[in-house]
Amino acid sequence: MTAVRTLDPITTEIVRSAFSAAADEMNATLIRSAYTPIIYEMKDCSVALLDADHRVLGQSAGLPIFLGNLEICTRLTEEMYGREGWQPGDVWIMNDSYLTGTHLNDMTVFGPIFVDDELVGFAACRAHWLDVGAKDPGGPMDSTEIYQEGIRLGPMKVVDGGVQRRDVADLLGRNSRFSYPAVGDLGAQIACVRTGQRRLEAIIAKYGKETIDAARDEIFAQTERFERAAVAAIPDGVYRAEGSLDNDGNGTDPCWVRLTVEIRGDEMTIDLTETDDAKHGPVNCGEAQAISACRVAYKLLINPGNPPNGGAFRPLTVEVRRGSMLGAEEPYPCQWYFTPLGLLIDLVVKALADVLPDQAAGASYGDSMVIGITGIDHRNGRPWLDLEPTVGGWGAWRGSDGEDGLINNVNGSLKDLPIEVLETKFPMRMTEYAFRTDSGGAGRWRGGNGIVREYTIDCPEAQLFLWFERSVTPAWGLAGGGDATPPVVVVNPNTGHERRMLKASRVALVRGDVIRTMTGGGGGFGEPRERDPEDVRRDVRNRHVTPEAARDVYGVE
Amino acid sequence: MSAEIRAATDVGGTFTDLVYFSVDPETGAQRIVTAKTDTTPPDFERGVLNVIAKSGAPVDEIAFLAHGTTVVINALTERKGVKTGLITTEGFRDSLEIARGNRPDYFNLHYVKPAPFVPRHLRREVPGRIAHHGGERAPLDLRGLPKILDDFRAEGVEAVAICLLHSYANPNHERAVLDKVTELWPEAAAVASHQITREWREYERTSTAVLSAYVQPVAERYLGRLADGVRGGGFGGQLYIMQSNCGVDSVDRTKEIPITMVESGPASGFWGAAELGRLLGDPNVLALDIGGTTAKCSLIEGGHVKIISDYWIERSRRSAGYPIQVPVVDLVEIGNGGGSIAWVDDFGKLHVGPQSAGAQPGPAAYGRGGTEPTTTDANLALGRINRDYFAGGEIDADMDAVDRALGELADKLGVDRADAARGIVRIANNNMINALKLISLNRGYDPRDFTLVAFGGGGGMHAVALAAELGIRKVVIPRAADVFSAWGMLMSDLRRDYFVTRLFGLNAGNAERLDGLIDEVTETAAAQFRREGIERDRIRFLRYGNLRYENQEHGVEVPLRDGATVDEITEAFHDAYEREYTYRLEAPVEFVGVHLVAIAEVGKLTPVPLAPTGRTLDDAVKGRRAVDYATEGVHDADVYDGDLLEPGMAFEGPAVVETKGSTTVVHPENAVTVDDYGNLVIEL
Repeated sequence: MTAVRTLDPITTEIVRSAFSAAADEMNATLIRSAYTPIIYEMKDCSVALLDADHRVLGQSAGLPIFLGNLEICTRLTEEMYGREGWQPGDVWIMNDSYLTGTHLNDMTVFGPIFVDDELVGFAACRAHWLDVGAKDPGGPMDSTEIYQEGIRLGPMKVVDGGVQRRDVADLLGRNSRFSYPAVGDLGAQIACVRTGQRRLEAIIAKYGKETIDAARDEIFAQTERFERAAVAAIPDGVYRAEGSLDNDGNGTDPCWVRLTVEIRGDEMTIDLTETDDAKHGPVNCGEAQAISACRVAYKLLINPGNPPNGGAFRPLTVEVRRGSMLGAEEPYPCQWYFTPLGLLIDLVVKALADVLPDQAAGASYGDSMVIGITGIDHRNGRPWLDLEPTVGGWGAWRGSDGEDGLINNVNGSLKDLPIEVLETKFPMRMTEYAFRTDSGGAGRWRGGNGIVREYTIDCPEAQLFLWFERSVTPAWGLAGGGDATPPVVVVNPNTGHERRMLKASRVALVRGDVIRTMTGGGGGFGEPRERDPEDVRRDVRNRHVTPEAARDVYGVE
Repeated sequence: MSAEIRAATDVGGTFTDLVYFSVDPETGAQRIVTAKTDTTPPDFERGVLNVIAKSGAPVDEIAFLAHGTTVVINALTERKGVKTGLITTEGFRDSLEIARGNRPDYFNLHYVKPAPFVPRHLRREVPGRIAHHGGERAPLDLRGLPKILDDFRAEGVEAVAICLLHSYANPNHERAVLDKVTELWPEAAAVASHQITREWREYERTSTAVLSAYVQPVAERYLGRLADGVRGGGFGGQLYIMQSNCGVDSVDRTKEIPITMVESGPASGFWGAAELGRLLGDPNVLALDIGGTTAKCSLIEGGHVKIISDYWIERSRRSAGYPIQVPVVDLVEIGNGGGSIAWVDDFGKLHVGPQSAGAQPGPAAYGRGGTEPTTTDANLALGRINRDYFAGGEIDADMDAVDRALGELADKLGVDRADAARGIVRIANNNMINALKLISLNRGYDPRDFTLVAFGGGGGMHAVALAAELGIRKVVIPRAADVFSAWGMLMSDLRRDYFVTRLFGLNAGNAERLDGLIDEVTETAAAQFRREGIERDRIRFLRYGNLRYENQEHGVEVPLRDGATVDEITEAFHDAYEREYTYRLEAPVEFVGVHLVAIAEVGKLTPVPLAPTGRTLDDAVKGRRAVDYATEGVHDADVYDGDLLEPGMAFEGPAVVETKGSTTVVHPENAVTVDDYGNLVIEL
């Protein structure tokens, strides 16, 4: 072992704070300057500051599902182009699903950082672009190959020696249905990377490389010690869980995610190899994202309180099978890469629920529940696209009801679209946005309720896209708590032409059509009959629970 | 002829402060007097009268009395408002509780959303729809309203909030509901969202109306008793209430919409900092207010204090918080003040705050049973605060308790007591540096282009260290820094900010629409002032447009100069956008809304230079003591009595300047001058 310069704990703490402030500033730069609401409103983005060995110094994630998978991009680029491929002033871009793990909409932009001609680290960010030229606006719901999902980039330079490459920006702009947002978001991401570069340079200039390295090593070691202790506290054993998606978007067969979690001493292995083979519909993801999802689940249970760094996840090993849904290879489609991942996260929690009863919770409603409505705005002749995830119910846990109407677990700071903004921007109106009574799983602690969101079309014609999931495996309860109600989408409810569907593409809509979306609830926790009758009566008064359910399920009149 | 007196009172959780200036009518010389008494809940007006009496100010000679109070923010954070009912558009009563559905603490499987201030069964709906363009889509149906109000009465509701969809574009339906509620139930407090805000986003507007209704009866009672109390005590001058937008407003107007007082405490200090910057020829100011439990900062560019309507309470990395769409000074606040507690977490990491020892038990040095070390204790241990002149000599510092508290912390960290104390100061400074970065760097400003104006009881203690870290070259510690907020109040004008959303493309075809909107909002403001006896020629208007590229969500605020063409406004937008966001686009530009500021002078103070008495610098020297500068070692510092410093005096660090209410730590090699107004100007 090399001699480690011991650093006083205060300096270590101040360096840690400097890393995290730098990441926050990168994030602020990205979100401030992003063009598309998906980035600044829905926070579908992530930033990281890495050291020269691709380890996280500071991360600021908008989406939890982007936890710890920016470093893979710099690592893979280095594998392809060598260490000498990194040159001062360069910024790179890539989006290949099989490399980054995610869908093609997510552009990862990154650049090396040099101090005195020495490579000291990287700044990286990822953001969801509105449109990357897939066969359908925004991205398809029924793609069968990745080539239908848009332009696909391996690592390439977008800034060369400090000069932005116009040809690359031009290429990206031309390949998007909405070129201003594409070019605007590219500008925001480059600005974000430059901020990270400047900040790390400043931190090193201030404290000196030696101090920074010593602080980094100590920070990583602290995190690793803490996590190993938390894993070691879990009884050794092999724990299993499985669940299925409704289908892959094209076929009708369920898609199984199967996993085992093995705890041995202070090590945790999540084995995903028994998960189904890759699908011909877009529910696959690259290995990098499967690992990220396991990290999210691990973090929820092991170390939720601290921002991640390069010392995190060292006790965790993830086994992915190449060619499976979670380790997709060319040409399998990846547009809805996160759908199996939301399930995966809940399944890891379920597998460990018996041995971590205080950390666990009933399952959540499960997926982003996306509605897309698109068309030509008859008022100005221009194309429009509303693409929204929908909130739902979360699982209850020992001591508390689950939350009603909250965004799903692969999302975080994502905010819903205000009705007043929606009605101003798009030729449609909303006729209801409300909690969905009785949709949460019953329990001593009740699962959260999903919501109802109802749209009415106000233009001559439009098209509907839907991606609603988890009707086959709705949110399950724990410790005797009940399962939740699955999602339902009805077009033109209570009319002669009522239609029910969960996943759909290009459904023709005309003026006056009504789309009523209903998301599922979260799982309950504990026996419903043990619920405090006062809580049941309060739920009835608030119509979170109907009097009938109070009587039949809870035994409260 | 008697002196003309302008006074400001500030009611805090523990103390009620007063500052008054009397101006000698012959010489023009100003005398400043401060006083402090206990706050007297629930009869707060008694504390105000007490403090006036204690100060010796003749009540009947006070011409202008500005009043700042935390009554609104306290009622909100302590949940001491009234039971509130909400009336919404049919289909949308849950907007308040769904909120925006976000989950900021996203690695927390047990995240709990902020509980709504109105439970679901007290959220009721009425049919009728206004469209986004303001037209009526479905008529309002109030037949169900009497039953709703009966239910509210039966449930013990005292206040009713009303928020209907698109009421920012057309408030007619909302107004009709409000009128009917007032007619059917005149005893209830009632407020409709359009009375407070004319901006879109229904959740934010609903939350605003609800929180306003929730505090309205409390604030009305408070203001009523205050006004009656001071008048009964012989006060015959003008009474104004400090607002969150850095202005003051009348008692009557504030009673209608008391939620506008929510951040009035910090606002007056930041306004003071801007006024001070103007006075000193430093229009770019980073203003920092360090109090007992929090530190707050704001950025002032070109003398312009940024007023925004994107304000939230209880929002953090861990919680989504509650929005209040009222004009509030743009600030960053952290739980880091003199009383903040230092602690060690599971990782062995040292933290300072956000928990505070408050006034009870207070820092360990108070000797009231506090066992955890605070920033103040660390500053005492390091000799930065004078242990023999603690709290202006009013408290005997219990240094044994300080040593014990620091000792326990030092053991946990594995360092000695002095290092623990230095650690606390370094971490506290680091927290404040991050706050200053958030308000500057994270918004595209370089702190080196600014002067740091620091005030509040702890401002001078930390300012130089923070400035050094951020590369700031000049620090100003105002005279009477501990009551600087009150000075700011005396510098305030009657000011109202109007934010109105109206979305349209910014192009020549819409020029008339833009002019029409500005005229409309200006007329609304002028009419409101006119009803209160202030004619248009006394009002100064400032106009800003909120602009963005088409289909973006957040825009940039651009001044709308009189007679500016659409092309000029567009060009100004492109420039402002690029400065803030680093790039510009060829994309079409949208106008989102107007921000109109209407200002009327109501007799604010005009500061005059201090008259020298002929004292020398030596007269101000109290002594010399060893001061630990944390990262810069221990130095023997000259100690000055701040009250004896006069314009023209100059000295160098290491030094400490002490007054009754504050301590300024001057680092080695700093050059200090006392300016014409008695402020300390420190060059780094």
